[in-house]
Amino acid sequence: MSDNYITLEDVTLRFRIYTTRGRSIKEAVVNLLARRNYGKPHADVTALQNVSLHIGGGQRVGIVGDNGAGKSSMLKVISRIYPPTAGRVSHRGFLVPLLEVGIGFNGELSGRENIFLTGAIMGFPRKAMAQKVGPIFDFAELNEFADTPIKYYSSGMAQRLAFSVATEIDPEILLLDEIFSVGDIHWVEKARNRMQALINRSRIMVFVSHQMELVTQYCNRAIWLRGGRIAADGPPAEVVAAYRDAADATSRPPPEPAPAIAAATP
Amino acid sequence: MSQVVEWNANRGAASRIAEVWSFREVIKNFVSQDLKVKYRRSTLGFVWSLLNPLLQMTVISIVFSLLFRMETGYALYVLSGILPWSFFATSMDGCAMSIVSAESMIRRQYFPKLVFPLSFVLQNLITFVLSLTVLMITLGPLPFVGLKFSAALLILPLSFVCIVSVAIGLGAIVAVITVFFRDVQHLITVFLSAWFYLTPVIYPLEKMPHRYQYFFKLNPMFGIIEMFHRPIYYATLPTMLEMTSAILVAAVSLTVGLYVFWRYEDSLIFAL
Repeated sequence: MSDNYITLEDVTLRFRIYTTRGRSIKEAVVNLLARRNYGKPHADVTALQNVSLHIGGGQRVGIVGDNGAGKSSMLKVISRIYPPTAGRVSHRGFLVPLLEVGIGFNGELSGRENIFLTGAIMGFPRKAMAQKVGPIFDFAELNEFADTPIKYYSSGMAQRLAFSVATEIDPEILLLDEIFSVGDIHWVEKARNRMQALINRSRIMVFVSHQMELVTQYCNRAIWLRGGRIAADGPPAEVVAAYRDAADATSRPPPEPAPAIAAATP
Repeated sequence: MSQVVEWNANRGAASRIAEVWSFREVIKNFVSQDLKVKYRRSTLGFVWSLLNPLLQMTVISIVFSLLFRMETGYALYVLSGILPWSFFATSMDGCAMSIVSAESMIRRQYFPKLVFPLSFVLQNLITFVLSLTVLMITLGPLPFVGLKFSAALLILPLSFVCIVSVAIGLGAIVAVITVFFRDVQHLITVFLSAWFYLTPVIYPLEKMPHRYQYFFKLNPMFGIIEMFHRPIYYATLPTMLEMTSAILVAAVSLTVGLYVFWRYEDSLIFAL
């Protein structure tokens, strides 16, 4: 069982961010006929640059870094949602990504039907999922709404159900983008305990967060991404400290001109 | 137990098909739930998918009988053309938006993207097969329909294979194009209705002027639709030309469609 792993070898991820321009046949044709050239309708972004990484069983990895440093992209490459532009990506073990905010349910279908759909997407046959339906509704406290279409749920209810489904499944490799924290205080407390239990059950966890104390609390390894490259990799306390120092250095207001220099200039 | 999963951008057709097969539980869910949603909305449910072609058949048969003096039994000709065409047209419309509307799912989890257009085609296929069977059995014996149950009907499974291949092939292509050019969806609707009138679906080819008939035969959908007209209405096998054309069109559109789809599949996520 200890042979679960994630490996990235020299992975580069470049992709295009498309603007709204030129996304319709009509515009493409008009631009061609009028010989208009608005320049490229997209921008190329390098999200990851030659990243190599091995994560073995038992590791809880926290990924820190500024916005746009490639943290979420890294999780999406590991989970195959983003195909890498170059390099090798592989893992061994049942992998569940909990990445995007939002729910991803079909509003027309009941809560129960959505649970089966989510289960099928994550790779669970209907029979295995049938045993999980009860506990899921119990935890979400939504038993009386099991057969109500999701579109009649409040957004908080839908979030609760989504969280309960995702955390009822036992992954060997868990990818987490920020900790869920939606709902009333009673729910947040409950959710935190359940998340803790899920993390304890998983063999590998990779976790992206802007909350440094969560990284030091949950993880036994931290990686600092800067501009799509690994800037530091090691014990959480050290990596977080290094990242904090660098962030402080750039955000600190420029110091007052030292009197010694001021005196020397005339 | 758990095997190594490695990203491979150059995976071949066989491994991609195996991948789609491993998602069959997901496809099953999509299909059954889409059907449920579609029929739950209305009290009449599945009866609607029978009424729609039935009403179309009635209107078209009356109008055309008055205009062109069609022979009796024309209603059956219309029915055996309209049902396969509706399957094809509805599949195209559905496939066009299939990937765009699955965006939130695609951003959460890895999918072989073919499951989305494929689910739409399969869902329409179920409606198609059911309504064709039900209408043939219930309407067939009526005097003004006059369905003759002949051995030629045994060709129908091949007809289904052909039209499903075309629907999957072209459906895969429009699904990809719509991701990059969203307005294609509207063009498809217009294009399909023009194509409908240019194809001998509700009128027989023989009614067209002789010197233009070869032009109609060049239409890729001609052979496909005749694969239904011939056994159901004429109670004969399709001609060699029609059958060859249907099989060729099916094979080519499926091959080209899957090739194009897989060529662009990995870049879809960045264009959504």
